[in-house]
Amino acid sequence: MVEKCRVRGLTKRFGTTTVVDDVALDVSEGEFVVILGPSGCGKTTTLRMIAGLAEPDAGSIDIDGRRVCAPAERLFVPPEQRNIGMVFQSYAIWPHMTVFENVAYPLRVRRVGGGERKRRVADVLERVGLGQESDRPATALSGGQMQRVALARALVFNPAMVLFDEPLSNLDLKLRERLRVELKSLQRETGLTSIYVTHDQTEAVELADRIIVMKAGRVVQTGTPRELYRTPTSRFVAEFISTANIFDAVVEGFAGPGFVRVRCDDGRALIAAHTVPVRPGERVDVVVHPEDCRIEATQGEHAHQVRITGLRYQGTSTRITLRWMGTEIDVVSLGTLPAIEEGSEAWLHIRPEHARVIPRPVP
Amino acid sequence: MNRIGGRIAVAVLAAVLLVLIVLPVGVLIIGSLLSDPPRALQFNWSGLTFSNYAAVLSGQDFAALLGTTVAAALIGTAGALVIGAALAWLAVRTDVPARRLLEAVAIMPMFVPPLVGAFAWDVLASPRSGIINIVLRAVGVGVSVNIYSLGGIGFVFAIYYCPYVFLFMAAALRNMDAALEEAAAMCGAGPLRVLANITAPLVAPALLSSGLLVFVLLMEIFAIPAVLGEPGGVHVMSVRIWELIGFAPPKVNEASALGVLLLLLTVTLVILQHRFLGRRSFVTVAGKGLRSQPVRLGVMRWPLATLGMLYLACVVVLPFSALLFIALRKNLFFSSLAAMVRTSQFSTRQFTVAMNDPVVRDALSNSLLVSLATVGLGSILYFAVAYIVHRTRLPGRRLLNMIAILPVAIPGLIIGLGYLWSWISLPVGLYGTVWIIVFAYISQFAPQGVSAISATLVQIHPELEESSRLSGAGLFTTLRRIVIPLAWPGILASMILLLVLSFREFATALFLYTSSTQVFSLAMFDFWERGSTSLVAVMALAQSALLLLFITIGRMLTRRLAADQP
Repeated sequence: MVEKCRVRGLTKRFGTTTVVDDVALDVSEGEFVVILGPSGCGKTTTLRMIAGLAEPDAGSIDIDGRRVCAPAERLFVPPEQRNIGMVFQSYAIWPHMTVFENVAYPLRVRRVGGGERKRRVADVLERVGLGQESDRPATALSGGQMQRVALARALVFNPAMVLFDEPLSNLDLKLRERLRVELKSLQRETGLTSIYVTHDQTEAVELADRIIVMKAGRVVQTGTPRELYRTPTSRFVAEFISTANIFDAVVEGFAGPGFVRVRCDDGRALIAAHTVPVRPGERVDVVVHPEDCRIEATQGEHAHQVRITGLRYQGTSTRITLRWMGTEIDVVSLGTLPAIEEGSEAWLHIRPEHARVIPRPVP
Repeated sequence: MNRIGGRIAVAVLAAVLLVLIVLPVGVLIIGSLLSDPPRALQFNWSGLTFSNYAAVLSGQDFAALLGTTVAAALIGTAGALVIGAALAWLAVRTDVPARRLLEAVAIMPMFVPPLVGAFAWDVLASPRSGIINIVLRAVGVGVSVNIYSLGGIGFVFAIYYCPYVFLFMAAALRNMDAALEEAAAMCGAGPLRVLANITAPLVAPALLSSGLLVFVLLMEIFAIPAVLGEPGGVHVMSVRIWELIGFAPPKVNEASALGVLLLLLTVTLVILQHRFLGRRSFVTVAGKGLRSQPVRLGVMRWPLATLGMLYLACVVVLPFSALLFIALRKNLFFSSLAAMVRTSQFSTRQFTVAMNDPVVRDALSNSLLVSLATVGLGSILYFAVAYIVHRTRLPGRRLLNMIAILPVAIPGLIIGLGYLWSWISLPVGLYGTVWIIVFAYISQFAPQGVSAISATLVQIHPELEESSRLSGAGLFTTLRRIVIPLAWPGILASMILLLVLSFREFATALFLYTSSTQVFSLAMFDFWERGSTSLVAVMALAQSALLLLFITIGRMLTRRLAADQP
């Protein structure tokens, strides 16, 4: 695969605080990479450094095999020479221009002739579903339409890649979902290389080929959405990527290859899978996803007696809160439910491969 | 406030504003159509005539007068736009050294009274004895500067009025979503292209609007052309109005006609300006706190910073050095560099003379009295108007607001002339007292006062008041316990602004004083006309020092108040 963007050792300080700390990332051609993290984790600053809108204090950035930034070599290619499209959170649609003029601007700057320019703008406006709006003043557009203009403007000059800075965060939920689907299919069709910054894990999981999770200026884990979901390497990632149940537990002993017995302080005991070596007596976190649990009226292997404390129907699924010894646990059940009601006793079944051990970072 | 009480309040305020602002202008317009000068309680209606207008318009030099007025204002506006916009861009958007200092410098001329600036530039650059010209001659350069020319007056206009442009532009640049410019860079546009295609069109409304405002102010201004225009034969309308009344035989009716014509011009321009402001502004505030990287000036950093400091030299350093120099000279007859710097010629005697001069002392105490009265009475009136306009839905509140902002378009000189007409002809013993000056000032500063207090009031969330009312407090308790304490820093800042404006005001009082009610600026102008340059220099320094003191005390008080509030 052709490498489109390669970042090494990227560091940015504001005064004494390091907002981006030794970040490395690679993006291949046609890949959709999402940088995910809570606000203030340095994700937007990282994106702006790739764009050339902020200058790093250390590290290097290569785009299309060309070095565009390396403070150590006093090299800094300004944003206008990096050939990257960008969609801003505030859309940044120029209010003194029409839709056409906004989208045609990159071509005008590149001295693309009139006929060719018209054809390409019409083409890209068609693709984002704004074929009819070409002559409207940009200020007459709705938020969703402005977002589409911004996307068209970022695509029209066939950039090396497109950067997205939380582009959907100013839109309402319904529109956000629709644009997400559109964006993903557009990206599939065009094979567009993209880096997308967001704090919304649903957005990240739906859009990304690969997710880079950042925390406090550092990359904590990189992987496909599935990898992050299945094998988070830290409690932070597990909590951020899903609404998992996370238990604080101690390893008691081994239970066959790849499995250990763990026990929580309140007495809950279960068998869990591990991918990294652990020792008996070690304190670990155990992740159990709500949708991996089953609730039965009868006992069985790997079943635990619980009391149902709450039921919330959410359309096609039911979210069940239950009390297992001293701890509240979330369970999601799809389809038909066994006859249980609030306050009743039931059995919680957790298969050993669905409970995963995450080692604690060595302090 | 119950409905009836509210209506009574609106009616009373409307009556006060009508008497203060509309009546003088109305009487002035009537006067411009009469053939007799004003006399107590007498309008000679039989003398209704257009002859005053005919006399003014057919006067041999009316076209030249209008041409000069407009030309000087245009030169000044163009200069103010260039300097103000350039300083704003440098201070807000670039990595120029000492940005903060530059920002402070850019608004400094607002605190230098135009009259003081005019005196100083007279001392600096009058064609024969100006200090700059003496130095130029001494160095042996074959050029000289002439501040008594159209260009010279335009230059002084520009440097003292560019802060208005600066404030508009700096706000526009600061409020503009930086992503608009960044998006253009991402599209491949270089910095100059971004400036031309994106930044300039986006701030154009602010530029146009501030340009119109400055143009109106320069059409109206009296102090600078009165000092610098007359010696070189550069005549403008405001000074002509004063001459028509001041020189024998006084032609008050003709002066009024010329005043009404000037008023027509300024009102038209102000309406134009409001139309531009009213149009949907392009400048939108972005929700995100991220600041873009400042534009890198590269090798131009220091040269541009130097230009900024040159501006500081022009508006502050040179003028005040010149005034101090004159104030310290024993005699003012020097024509060479050597004679100029002879130390034996320096003494502080002038300061003692000035301080013991009874005219100066009376003028100072009059000015302080007038200023404090204006601040005290004005603030109450402005607060009442601002509160009713922004915090109630009472009928008539828009009318109140409209009358209150009307004086923006009325030159101070014209307000003064209107007061002269109205109060000389009314049987109230107001004319000849300091109070007529106070009332004229309160009318003149109504726009600034009301808008400053309004800006503070709108920042207080209405729910804070509403919850006080629901807790059982009446309107006056709510005002006293909630609104005024919360708005107090802003009100105090507005009061300081009013104090500064009224202490330095000049043209408004020009027709309203008697020998016992002379204010400080007027006394200064009087002495200057009689050639007491040293005394004028001392007074100008004293006035500037007092203004600086007011501002400093005000800053300290508001800062302490702001620190006390959570």
